[in-house]
Amino acid sequence: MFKELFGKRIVALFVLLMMLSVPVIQAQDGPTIRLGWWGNEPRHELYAELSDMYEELTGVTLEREFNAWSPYWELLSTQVAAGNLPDILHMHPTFVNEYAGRGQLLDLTPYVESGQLDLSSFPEGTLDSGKVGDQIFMVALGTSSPGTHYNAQFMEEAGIEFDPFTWTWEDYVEIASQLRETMPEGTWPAADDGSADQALETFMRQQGKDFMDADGIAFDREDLLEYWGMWEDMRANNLIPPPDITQEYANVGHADSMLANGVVAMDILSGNQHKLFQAATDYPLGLAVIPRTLNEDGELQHGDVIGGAYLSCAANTEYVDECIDYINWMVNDEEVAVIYNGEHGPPGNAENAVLIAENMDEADQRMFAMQDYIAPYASLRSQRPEWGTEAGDAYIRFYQELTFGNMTLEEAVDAFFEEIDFISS
Amino acid sequence: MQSTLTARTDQPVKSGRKFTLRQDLTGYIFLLPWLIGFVVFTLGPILASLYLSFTNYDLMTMPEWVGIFNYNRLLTRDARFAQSMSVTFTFVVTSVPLQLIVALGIALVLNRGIRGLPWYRALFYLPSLLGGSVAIAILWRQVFGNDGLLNQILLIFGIEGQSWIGSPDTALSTLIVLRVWQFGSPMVIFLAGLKQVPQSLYEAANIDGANSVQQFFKITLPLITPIFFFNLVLQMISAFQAFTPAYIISDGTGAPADSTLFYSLYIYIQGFRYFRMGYAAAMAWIMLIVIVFFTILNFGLSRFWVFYGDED
Repeated sequence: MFKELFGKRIVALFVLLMMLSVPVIQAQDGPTIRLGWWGNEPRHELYAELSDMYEELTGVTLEREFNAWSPYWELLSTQVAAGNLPDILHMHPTFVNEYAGRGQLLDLTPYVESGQLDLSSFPEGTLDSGKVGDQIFMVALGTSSPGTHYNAQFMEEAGIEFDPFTWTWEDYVEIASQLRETMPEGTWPAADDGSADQALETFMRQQGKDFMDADGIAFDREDLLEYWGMWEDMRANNLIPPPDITQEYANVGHADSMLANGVVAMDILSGNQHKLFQAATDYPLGLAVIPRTLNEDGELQHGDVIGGAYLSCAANTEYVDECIDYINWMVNDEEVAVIYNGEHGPPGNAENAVLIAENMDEADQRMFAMQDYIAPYASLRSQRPEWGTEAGDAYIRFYQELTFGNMTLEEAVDAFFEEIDFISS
Repeated sequence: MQSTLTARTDQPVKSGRKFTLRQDLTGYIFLLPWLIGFVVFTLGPILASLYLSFTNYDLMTMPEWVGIFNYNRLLTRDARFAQSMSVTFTFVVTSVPLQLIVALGIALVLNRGIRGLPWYRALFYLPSLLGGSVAIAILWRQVFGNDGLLNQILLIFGIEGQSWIGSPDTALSTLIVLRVWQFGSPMVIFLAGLKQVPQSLYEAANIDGANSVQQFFKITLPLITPIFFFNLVLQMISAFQAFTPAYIISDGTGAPADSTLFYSLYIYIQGFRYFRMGYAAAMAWIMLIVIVFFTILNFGLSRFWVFYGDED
């Protein structure tokens, strides 16, 4: 009796296992390649759609590993430690030095030279933006720069007209003061972007300096006194929100943001997010460049930084050909370009950029227009020291000490530089 | 089956020593699955982290021996280390006693034989199951935010609220409240302890004319001190290691202005954000020493207040 039952169970288990393994066997007609990207929910859906297309087209199975921005990089760092990077991964100018420098990324130069990876439609500048030294390590999906997103309705109500491409920091403060008169209590003309690294970086580059370069912090005490001083004045005049409100809105989604909800009228953020903010709000938005600085001769100083999303391959991937094929398809295929629709700003492939420019919605048109205007002035972010992330955090922290009133302007600036001395040791 | 079993037991034991060896071996074989897991996944990493704490290790390149550099930098020059210690101590010293008092209070009420006790017990235990989760930490943001539930309620009483999680003065307090709210698991243990107190003692006290306050302090409290001690040690250790709420509420930064920079969060930031893995390992060992110290201190002090009943 016992034996009989046992035997039956074994057979049943076997049949079950067989059934489970059938779909696995069926799916194995092409290699499985791991693909990693960062993003939010709509972007995950977009990449999922594209990945499904690619699987159907080629029989390759794409194993998808996606995350929000910071968890994506945290996970990547542990995957690097385990020698287990995704075969194809999304890369960013901020991190490419770190990964390429440590030999983790595949040198794409030979494949570009042999034509296997066709980047013939890429402008030279865009192609170069994927280089570390002379070698190509990443290929641009799209590039964009940060800008000032503003609420066009609030501007109109305050009777403000300005040139969104040539305005200066003085204009910015002046416009904020004018907005103050028509905006109700509990809302503010501008978000507190004193802690935003993109705004700081652009400001410092306008002074002929930078936030950081390979050796460390690339600006002086006086520069920071001037910059933080400007934000402190704005806070004193109620032109930007108090720090606890700013803190509360840190890292919320587009729909919950201050800009989308009319809590602030201006905010400095990545340009490719313009359409996401527009989609999240009924207010008509506009997009201006980050305010400029005038030099001694009264000439505009631009200093724009290029950001964006790029594709790289892991140095140790077993599927080089498949990875190259995927990148080819992503950056050159017209159908992909239409679906992808400039998610990360104008595509690297200039022909596709023209193609999608034909039927763009208004938010995208504004972003492309700004990108067009600043293209001659924009350049890649400088290489940062190994402790760049830590220095960036320290910048935000001491700015908070200042805004919460724990330190005076001078104290905060001095403490920041002391902390940099400590971090770099 | 049957016959082999009998055969084995029938065999005479030749020598006592051999028998124990064989018994030991069987024991170890049965232990093996756990033992392998322990050595590979617990002991190994612990020893590796001790080694790494004396190295400079960025996850991507090989660790490089630097002696006591990490410990030296931490203890003498890192201001954030001191800040994270102070945040963590404040958290432990306030949240653990508050949580235990609340747990004991609720347990006393429930112990009075209320109808539907299992329901209440489950209800009060629920926060303990949920409390460490991401969802609750997000809920907390909603409750203590500027437009949050708390401020809405305060508004009814005409009190102008503030952003509780956005301000460095109050952000830590909201995390302490979150911790105290998870009183369920010590409460359940207290309840079990209260049931152990012999009913006859209360009857005798009643006859002697002791009121309920006297009964609580003279009978209940002394007899549940072992339970209290157990809860104290457990909750203290877990409070020292608190991570998730601070990570979620401050988006992994310890903001605003490092006011929620828990020690475990700082370890995480050093290791996975700044890639100072050796430094993070050194921090973990300092944490271990601190926890061991306080646990031993607790055990030492327990002689003076914990009553095990079998004494005198």
